[in-house]
Amino acid sequence: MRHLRLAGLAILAGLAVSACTTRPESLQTNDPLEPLNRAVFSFNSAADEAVIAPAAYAYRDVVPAPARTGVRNALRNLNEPVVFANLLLQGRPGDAFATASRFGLNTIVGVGGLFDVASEANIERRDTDFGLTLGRWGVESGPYMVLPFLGPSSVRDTFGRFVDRYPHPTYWVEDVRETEAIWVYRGIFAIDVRLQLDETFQSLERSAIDPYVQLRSVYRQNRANALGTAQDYEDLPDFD
Amino acid sequence: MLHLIRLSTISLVAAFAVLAFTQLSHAQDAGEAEAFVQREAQQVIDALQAYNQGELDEETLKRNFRERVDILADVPRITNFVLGRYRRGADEAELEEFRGVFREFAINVYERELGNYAGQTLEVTGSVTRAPGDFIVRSTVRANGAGEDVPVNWRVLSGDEGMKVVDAEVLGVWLAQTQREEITSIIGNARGDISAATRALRQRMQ
Repeated sequence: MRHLRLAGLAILAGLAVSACTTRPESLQTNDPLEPLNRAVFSFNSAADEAVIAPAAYAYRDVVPAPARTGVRNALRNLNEPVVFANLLLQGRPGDAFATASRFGLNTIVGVGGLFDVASEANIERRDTDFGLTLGRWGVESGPYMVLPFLGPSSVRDTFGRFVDRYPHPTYWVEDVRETEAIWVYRGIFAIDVRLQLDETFQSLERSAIDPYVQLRSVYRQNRANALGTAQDYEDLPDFD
Repeated sequence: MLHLIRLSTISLVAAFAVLAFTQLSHAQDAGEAEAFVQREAQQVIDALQAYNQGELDEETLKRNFRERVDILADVPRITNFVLGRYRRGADEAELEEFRGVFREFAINVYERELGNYAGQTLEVTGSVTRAPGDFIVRSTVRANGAGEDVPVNWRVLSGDEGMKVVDAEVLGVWLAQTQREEITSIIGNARGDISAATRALRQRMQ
């Protein structure tokens, strides 16, 4: 099994290297894997059209809105330990404490996180991840990447995504981590995220000139905002 | 020595006066930029509300919107911006064709959004002066019960024809910057051929 995984990784690495481009536009936009990324983007779009979007719409049509809100609350609550750990690593103890309070309150009073009582108590949700933690530590994002099923990312954010698995409660419990239960969780998570992004997907469809480049640009600008590097408007381009 | 002190005092006062005047004129300009965005956005909202109440038909609404575009936005400046480095040394006929098609594409995108209007209003909440004549006007689009409020920032530049919007930031994404990445990518993939972007825009409008 281990050999198979290694072989898979080697094939992926080979594909990545062979898909590298020397086109100046790609290098300038820090997207040397553009040919491979575009192929994965097309695959993701096809998968979305065939499976993910229909599943998300079926879920939206069948499950009543209050229940969907409860599921979203519970999923966000499960992610709070990840946010907590990253806030600590970013040197934000006040925000980390607020996040721990949210987790405690929503888990106990909010029935396992189904109800977001913490927001009603004016403890607002913080959101961060290990990719942003690395960014705060000065690690550059590295080349742009499109991950199968997961969408836009960068080398730094992909590594961050991998690390963020460890403080997540689904990793703590062996019965979840080592069984089919983890795939049920991932399926529900994917459907919820797809519904959250539905407006973005529709906007891409309506306004994009090149959907691949638009998504890349939107992703990078969002990450720069989350990192707080785009707040002071100093880096805006000239119009002359 | 006294002479020197007097001279330096005069220079200091003069410097303060220039600084104060500059800040005052910046403050006035920033206020003007805020008023400009509020006024122009309100005109569009008034037209949309009239359309929703049946006082305006769709054709008149679209004509009204097209007329307002050049008052609100500096379309030639935006068009030059989205072409990036490919504008320099480009064939004038190709540039002219691109300008016409890009303008039509941009208007088409926003025209399609007009139908989604559901009673939102715009409230200007402040501004930042980046440089003389270069402002960021902050605003919030109030959903008024039709979803969540959305922060929208406007890049306003003052020029020969007064103030004009050159870019808008919606939920952290600058629209003209994003369009520039798309356009320059298409032109770059076509080895610098601007007509490739013109064709792509035409295709997206079909």
